[in-house]
Amino acid sequence: MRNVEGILAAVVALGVAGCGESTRTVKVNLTASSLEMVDPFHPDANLARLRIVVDGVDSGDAIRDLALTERSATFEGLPSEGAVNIRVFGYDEVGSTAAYGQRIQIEEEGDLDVTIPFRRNLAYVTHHPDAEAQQPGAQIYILDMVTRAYVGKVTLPDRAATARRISARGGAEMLVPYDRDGAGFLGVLDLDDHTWKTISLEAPQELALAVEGSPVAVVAGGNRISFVDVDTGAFLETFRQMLGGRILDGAMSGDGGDAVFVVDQEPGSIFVDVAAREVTARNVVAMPGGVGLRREGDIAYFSSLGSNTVTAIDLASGNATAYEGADASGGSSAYADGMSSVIAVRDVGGVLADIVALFLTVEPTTGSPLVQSVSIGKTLVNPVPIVVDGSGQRLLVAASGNDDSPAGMTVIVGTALGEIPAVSSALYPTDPDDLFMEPNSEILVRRRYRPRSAAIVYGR
Amino acid sequence: MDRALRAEWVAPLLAAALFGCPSDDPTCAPKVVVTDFECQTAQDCIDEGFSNLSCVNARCVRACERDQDCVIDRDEIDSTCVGVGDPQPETPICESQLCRTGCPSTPCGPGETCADGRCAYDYEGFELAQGETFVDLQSIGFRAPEADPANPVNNVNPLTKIAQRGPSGCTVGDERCAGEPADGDRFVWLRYSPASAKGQADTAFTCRACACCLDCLANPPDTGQNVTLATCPGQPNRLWSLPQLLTCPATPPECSAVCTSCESCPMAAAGTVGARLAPCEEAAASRGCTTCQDCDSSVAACRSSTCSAVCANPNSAACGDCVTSMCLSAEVCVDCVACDESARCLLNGTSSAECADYRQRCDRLAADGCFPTPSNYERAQLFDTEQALTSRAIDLSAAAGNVVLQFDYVGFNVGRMFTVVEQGKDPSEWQMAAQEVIVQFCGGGCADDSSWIDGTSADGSRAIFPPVSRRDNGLTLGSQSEVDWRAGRFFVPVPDAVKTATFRYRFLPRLSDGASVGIDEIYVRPRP
Repeated sequence: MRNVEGILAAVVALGVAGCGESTRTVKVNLTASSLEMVDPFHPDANLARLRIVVDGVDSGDAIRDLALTERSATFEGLPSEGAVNIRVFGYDEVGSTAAYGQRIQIEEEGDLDVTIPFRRNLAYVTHHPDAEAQQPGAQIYILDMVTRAYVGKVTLPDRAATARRISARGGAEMLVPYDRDGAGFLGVLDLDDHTWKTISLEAPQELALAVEGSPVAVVAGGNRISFVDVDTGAFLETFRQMLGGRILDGAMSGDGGDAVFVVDQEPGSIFVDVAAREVTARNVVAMPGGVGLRREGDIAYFSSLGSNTVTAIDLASGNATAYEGADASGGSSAYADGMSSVIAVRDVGGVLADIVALFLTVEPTTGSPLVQSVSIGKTLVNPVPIVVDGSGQRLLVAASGNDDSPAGMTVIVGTALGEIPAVSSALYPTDPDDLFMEPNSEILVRRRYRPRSAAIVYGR
Repeated sequence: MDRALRAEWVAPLLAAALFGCPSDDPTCAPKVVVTDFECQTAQDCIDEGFSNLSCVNARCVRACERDQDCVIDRDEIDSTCVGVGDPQPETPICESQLCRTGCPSTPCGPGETCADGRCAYDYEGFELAQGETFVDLQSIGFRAPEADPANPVNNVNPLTKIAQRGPSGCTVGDERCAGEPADGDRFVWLRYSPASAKGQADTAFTCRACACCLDCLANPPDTGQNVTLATCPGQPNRLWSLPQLLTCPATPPECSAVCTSCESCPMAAAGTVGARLAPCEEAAASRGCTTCQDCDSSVAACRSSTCSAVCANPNSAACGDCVTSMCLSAEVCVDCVACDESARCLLNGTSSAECADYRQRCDRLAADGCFPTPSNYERAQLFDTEQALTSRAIDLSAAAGNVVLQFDYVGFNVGRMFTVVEQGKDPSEWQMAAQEVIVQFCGGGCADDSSWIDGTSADGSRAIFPPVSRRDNGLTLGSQSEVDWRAGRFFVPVPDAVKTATFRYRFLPRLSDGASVGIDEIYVRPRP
């Protein structure tokens, strides 16, 4: 038997060498939270199938379906060169992505043994404070991205504090700047067990960005930019130059080396070199409204409130490509990899905002970058910045509402590539615990909080 | 490493070693989305000419999310390659995120038919049949088995209908402009037909005292003065109309005199008192009115004398015409209806000579005036069997394996609780109940509610939808999209006990007035 295997191995080696290729093995291991509400294998997650997709720049896809009881898979014969992307999809019966995990742009050479936290496809949402309600500013809702259903909630370490903007650090953590009595903090929520780590900031700040594999988070807002180490919990330093404007949006490169913030003060785009601690303001587009990031974390797309341009910036090189031709590209935006488009929200305040799909392409004859904008639906009143899930196919726009309009949430789902995405808006879930007596009646009503910001696990 | 697995990945490499490297030259790709070709990466598929396939589970195949992902569109077919390669399967479908060859290319099992590429024992998408221009629930057999032949008018939920997308730009909000279905142009719009607190009343004439008593109980005077026959029913400052009491209060002192007088009125004819009456209504209906009883005697005599020639069949139209023209015109019969007609004139604000005559007659009759009173209430509350959307009978007698009911749904602002009206019960005793739609099955004798059993989801819970976590969504009819339908697919295993030749399923709504549910793409099929 050994001889047969030896001959086979030699023949295989001959085949491989003869083609000028070498191969490698990639082993993928999945871990999942045991916390019931976020466990992708809990029945509430409606998981029906599990699929691992391994691809890379130079290699073809290899896809493996696993039984729901399996937690690892080994891929053999993959090209040994080029970066590898590993994505894990948990599908429900219909084929919607109910759970997700990823490791993107793995540059290591040789055989790989990769462990990926596999998560339910959940959105975490912070809320505006409301003196009449039970501290909604400290409550973070967890919502199912497929059904839009309320799954549960988690409370800030300090119940009297108020959360600002939330962002995902891959599938590992949620970053939540919050403040109380004029003091600022960064809360780091572990997505495995929902435990908190708290880092003191010099002042209340708005939005923190960090990626898995890089410990430094960049925190913007309060007229400053701060750097903290989210792994050790150490506050590193503050960029002392005053930074004007309100934070509209932000994104960080996949390697954590570059961050970008969009503010409502000219020139509007703030670039941060994390390693060098350099902050540069650039005029990328007129009146930038938002920024979306490609899954690989290398290209950021800026939408504009004041022009018909979407500008793509290579975060590593700084090279810019302007896609012309949109009606007006919009405010907050996200890049939907599954649709090859930027999805932007045009909010003029007080009314239902337009959602626009900006399909990026090239003009066939000239090869010029081109953007085609299509209005695909409406949000509810006062939308918060749009976010996209890890798969790049499902987006969420929560809406704060106002005194006349209830809070809501809009889900946008990509259908086939190049087709118009499907959009559906519904009311925001009511709080299961916060009841109040409706005026002039004896009916107890569940209070509906007003979303302030949203982030999706593994999302951008 | 498993030997079989090793053989799988060795084979193509062995071929490469023996026959050289795969060519990069473009080839005419076979027009397929499903192959048995072994692979390790998609490159192996490309090398074999399957340029649009992925390597899934070591086979070249197309991964998918929807059926349309499995359709090879025009752009994928190289015009220079037309006619080359394998033909596309007739109906490729997406199952378990992989394209597969659907039926009829893949044959169905016993008792199954092919519906859009999938084998099923039954399928309903509520679409027009070929060549038809109209479809409703009746025409596709979705009607409750006759549950109450004695009340045929009532045994249909009038609110549940087939809804359609409607023309582009139509104003959404009803079944003619209902927005996006799960598939096609139509879906069923399921609602709960609420019961009124009381049904429609049949009436009989009672004496003034009993009418006064009932009116006094329904509208107790706030003056503190006793009600007397001289001023009732109704009061000087209030017009009288037929009272409908949901419950009977204790007799207030102001009403005692007239209610005591009521007990002296003659008994009503046998059979006058019907069903669903409150006790005080029953007390009034059980007493008759002398004037009208005299009228009845007069009419009976007239029928057998003046109208005898045409009343051999007392139900004939000719007999009816004769009685109306010859018998009911008797003075005593005009007196019988005088108070009722007078009250109607007052309510309508009519001041004709005829009304004046009725008024004078009624005043003259005094205590002998007659008034209508509720004597019976028709059932106006639907049984579950009538409330539900019930399927046609489906033959599952040949179904050997696991069978499942599969459908897509959207909940339109289904809340948490609603008040269940129970006719004939004191409203204070009406219960709040959870809003839900219950999936139920029946294997035979489905006209009987007791033949239905609740479905059970795979996790052992009752098969109800939408789940509690997805209530109060504010979604209105017409605002739904594919996002909502795809979030609402539901599977309910069909128990062996109901796999009969006359299997039926039903959706039993328990919803508030403003809530409804859309249902589409219903399959009874082998478990996929």
